[in-house]
Amino acid sequence: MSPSQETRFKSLYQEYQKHVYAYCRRRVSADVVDDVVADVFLSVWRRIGDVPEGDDALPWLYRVAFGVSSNHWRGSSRRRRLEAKLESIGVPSGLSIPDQIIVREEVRDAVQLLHRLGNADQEIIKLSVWEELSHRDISIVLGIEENAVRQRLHRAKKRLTREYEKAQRRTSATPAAQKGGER
Amino acid sequence: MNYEEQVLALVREGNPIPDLATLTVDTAENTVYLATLTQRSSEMTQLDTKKVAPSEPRRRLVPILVIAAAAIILGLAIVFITGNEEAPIVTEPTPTTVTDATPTTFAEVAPTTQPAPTTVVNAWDQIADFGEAGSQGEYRTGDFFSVPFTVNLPDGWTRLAPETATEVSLTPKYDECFTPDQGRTDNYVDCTLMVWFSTSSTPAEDVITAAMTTEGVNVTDPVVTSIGGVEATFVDASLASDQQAVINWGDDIYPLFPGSTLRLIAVGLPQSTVVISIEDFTNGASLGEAQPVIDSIAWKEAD
Repeated sequence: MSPSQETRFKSLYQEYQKHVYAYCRRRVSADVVDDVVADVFLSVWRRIGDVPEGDDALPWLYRVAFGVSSNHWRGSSRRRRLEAKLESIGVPSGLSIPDQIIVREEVRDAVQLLHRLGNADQEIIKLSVWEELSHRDISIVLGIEENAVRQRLHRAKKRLTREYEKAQRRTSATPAAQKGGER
Repeated sequence: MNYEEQVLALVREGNPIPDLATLTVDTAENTVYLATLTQRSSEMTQLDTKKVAPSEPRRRLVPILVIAAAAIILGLAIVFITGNEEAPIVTEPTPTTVTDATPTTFAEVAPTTQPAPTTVVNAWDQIADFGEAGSQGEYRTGDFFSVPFTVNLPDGWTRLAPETATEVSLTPKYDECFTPDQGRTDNYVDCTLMVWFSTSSTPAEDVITAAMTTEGVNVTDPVVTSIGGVEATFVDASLASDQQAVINWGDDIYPLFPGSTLRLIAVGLPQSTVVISIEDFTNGASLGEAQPVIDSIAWKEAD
């Protein structure tokens, strides 16, 4: 790595470390997030010549973080197997749910619904709602066309809404809710 | 507010890190990390320099090698000419001096240019770590893995996760995970393939039965094969819908996810069943990449 590349790496690290940390923390648990962030920047270090200039740098970093987070989760054999075991006995696994404490029950339920979607749907919604990226930036992260982002985001939101709607109906159909309605 | 707006507002509220301004990152740790990377960079630069400018002994070696190469060529030329001495176009007898020189030259060069082939079996921990480029070679699990075996890995293969007494894992070409312009856009993970070796006390046929009876999974008919000279059976499994399913064979499980194809191979060794789980994220297109690796397996006695 040349001195100019080293300077570039340091400047990327200083400017975007919080963004990358937040991205990873939204996808992996607190106990491993430091390792995942370190792996992301190690990849950036190796590919410093590929990092685009300007505003495209952050989506590019997210793309690397996307790969590292995914692989961390998939590669973590014992963890994923434990989670699957929990799933198999009816305990929500939190496959990619960070271990945040959510106070409001309805918020927790909504996040759980999000995590029941397919991984691709989850990711595109998180990029849009949590990272607040534009369609263009999401297209860089996911490596797809902007039109495809629009379509996939639209479909993902529809699926999430459908799940939410079903959950709302189930809640209102429970005996407790019905009793409440009779009062 | 409609349902879509409601649920997206709730999801937004559930953001674990809603505001970067409130995020604190340990700057001391970052400094150490950057220093480590800088140190590594410096070491890599030194290695690069060494590659460009050979050390003194290597410089001295160059003329010797040139002379040796010239001797080999001369020797081979002489052998060639001598070998053709009975050809119709050669009418004059071969000079005595040439035939005398041939065996001497050949005998002197042969030991250094044609060393006897040696088989080097590398220790398992010499396989590159996840994230590094691995080197082609034969590798042997240590006794940490209760059913030792050797396997030939092509260039690029790496270890995927830390080894345990019951599990080792491999993956090819890890760098594919980070190619920004890679064509596959619908896969959540760009990596193509993971191979897990795990031991199980469940009989091999029961492992296959567990796969075939798991709800929500499409499974091919079992195929009997041979792994390292031992009879084995495999099935290919994939999800029938978008709902996750778990194949559970008693003392171990394998979760299946949308978009993946799992080749589950159960090998009935005398001391234990070895389950080889090959997870392919390319709908089966990359399974062939694992085949030479699986074909190269040789079971070993524990040291």
